[in-house]
Amino acid sequence: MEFVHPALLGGAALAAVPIILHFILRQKPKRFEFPALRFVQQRRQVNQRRMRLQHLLLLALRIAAICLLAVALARPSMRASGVIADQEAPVAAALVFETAPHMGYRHENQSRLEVAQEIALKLLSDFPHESQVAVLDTRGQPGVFQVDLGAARQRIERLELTPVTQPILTAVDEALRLLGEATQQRREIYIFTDLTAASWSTEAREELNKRLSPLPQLGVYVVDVGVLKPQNFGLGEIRLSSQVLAQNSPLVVSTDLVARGTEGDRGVVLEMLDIHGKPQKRNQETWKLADGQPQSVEFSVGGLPIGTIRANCGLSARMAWLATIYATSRSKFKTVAGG
Amino acid sequence: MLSLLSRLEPTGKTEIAPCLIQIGSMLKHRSLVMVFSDLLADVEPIFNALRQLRYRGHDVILFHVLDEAEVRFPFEGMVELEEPESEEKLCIDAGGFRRDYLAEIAVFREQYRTECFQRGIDYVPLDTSMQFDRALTEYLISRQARG
Repeated sequence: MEFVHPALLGGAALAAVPIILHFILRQKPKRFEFPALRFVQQRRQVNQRRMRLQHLLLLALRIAAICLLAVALARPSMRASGVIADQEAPVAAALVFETAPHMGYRHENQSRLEVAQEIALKLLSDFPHESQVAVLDTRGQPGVFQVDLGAARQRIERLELTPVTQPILTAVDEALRLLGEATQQRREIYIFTDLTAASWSTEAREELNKRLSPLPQLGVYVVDVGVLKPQNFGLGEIRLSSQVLAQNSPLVVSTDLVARGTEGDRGVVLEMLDIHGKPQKRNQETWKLADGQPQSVEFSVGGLPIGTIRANCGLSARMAWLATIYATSRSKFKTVAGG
Repeated sequence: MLSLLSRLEPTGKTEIAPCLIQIGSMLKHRSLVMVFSDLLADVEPIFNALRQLRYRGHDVILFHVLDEAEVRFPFEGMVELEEPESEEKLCIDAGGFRRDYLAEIAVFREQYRTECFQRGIDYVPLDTSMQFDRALTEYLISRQARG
């Protein structure tokens, strides 16, 4: 057990006050003439014993009350309890976010990184005000403790996916270094990850165990933001019938539509970008998909203008995207006026 | 007689039992004996004296007069109580003693009440907080009513 203000434990010395009052500063008795003294004498022995016991009990209670008050003012706290952020003692916390592209997979219209951010913000609101919080990601940059909880909140909100990332262990190492410099007794590390096999190989897990085993007082929390049954719809490589087209000849755009972990209908859209870069829908078709069986998709686009044309090909109904492993497949292609 | 009574003052040590026996032997005819006392002495000699008075055919009324402090024990905190006749002193925490003391004084009065009832003696408990004239008048009226 630790104390936030251990100096206030000195207040327990005030317990001496009732002892002094009890034994030294006894009240001087008032004198009275009392003819019926013999009735007092008859009960004196039993009464004196009882009264002495009562006085000692009262003295003990007074001492205990003062000691308890001193302990309460010193604000005791327990280290590394099993409940996340449920204590009043300030905490030194490192929030480690995996920001690899797979954290952008969407489920119920939320990416895994967004889920991690949401949980982290909630967690942050539960931390005591005096807490030190560092926010780290897998970009491999050195971490620092944020100025205050507000800065930590902003840092979390600004987290983005990064195409090139370091192993999660690198970020954990950095977090452990920071926590080693913290002044707070209560130290915790939160790892927000979707626990993909690529990030958490057997070797990585063993390495993490090695790093954490010498730190039994460190609170370690792995927050799994992955989903148990991922459902992915995706487009394969975009294939064009030709890079250069003769005038008035159609362009054939083909690809493969794949569903993993699910089945059902899914639409594919082909959009042409106008001269202002604004997408204009040219084709949309819906295909029936079986789990794991690719479906060939083909669009034939005619009447193309002369010049360079840009287009996007992607899954329709963005709002209904269940999986984002192939979230957006874009292709750029050219048509050149033929003779 | 009233003059004598008005000039009475408490002095020295007293023994009520021998006084009662002495009075009993002095009275040649059946008389009304009114005893005013705090009865703060050993009970058996007093009981014997009262029994002798009754045996001699006297009508006895026992006015048991205690000080208000002896009846209510109004003290608080540490007090030193001194018995005026023996000059014995006792230092006690009055608050803690009150309940025990009041129980003792109740037993003490009850002893006299029972003894007097058995011997046909009127027992009238009084204390100094009461108005004596009123208390006596009320007692005498009730005695007259009993015939």
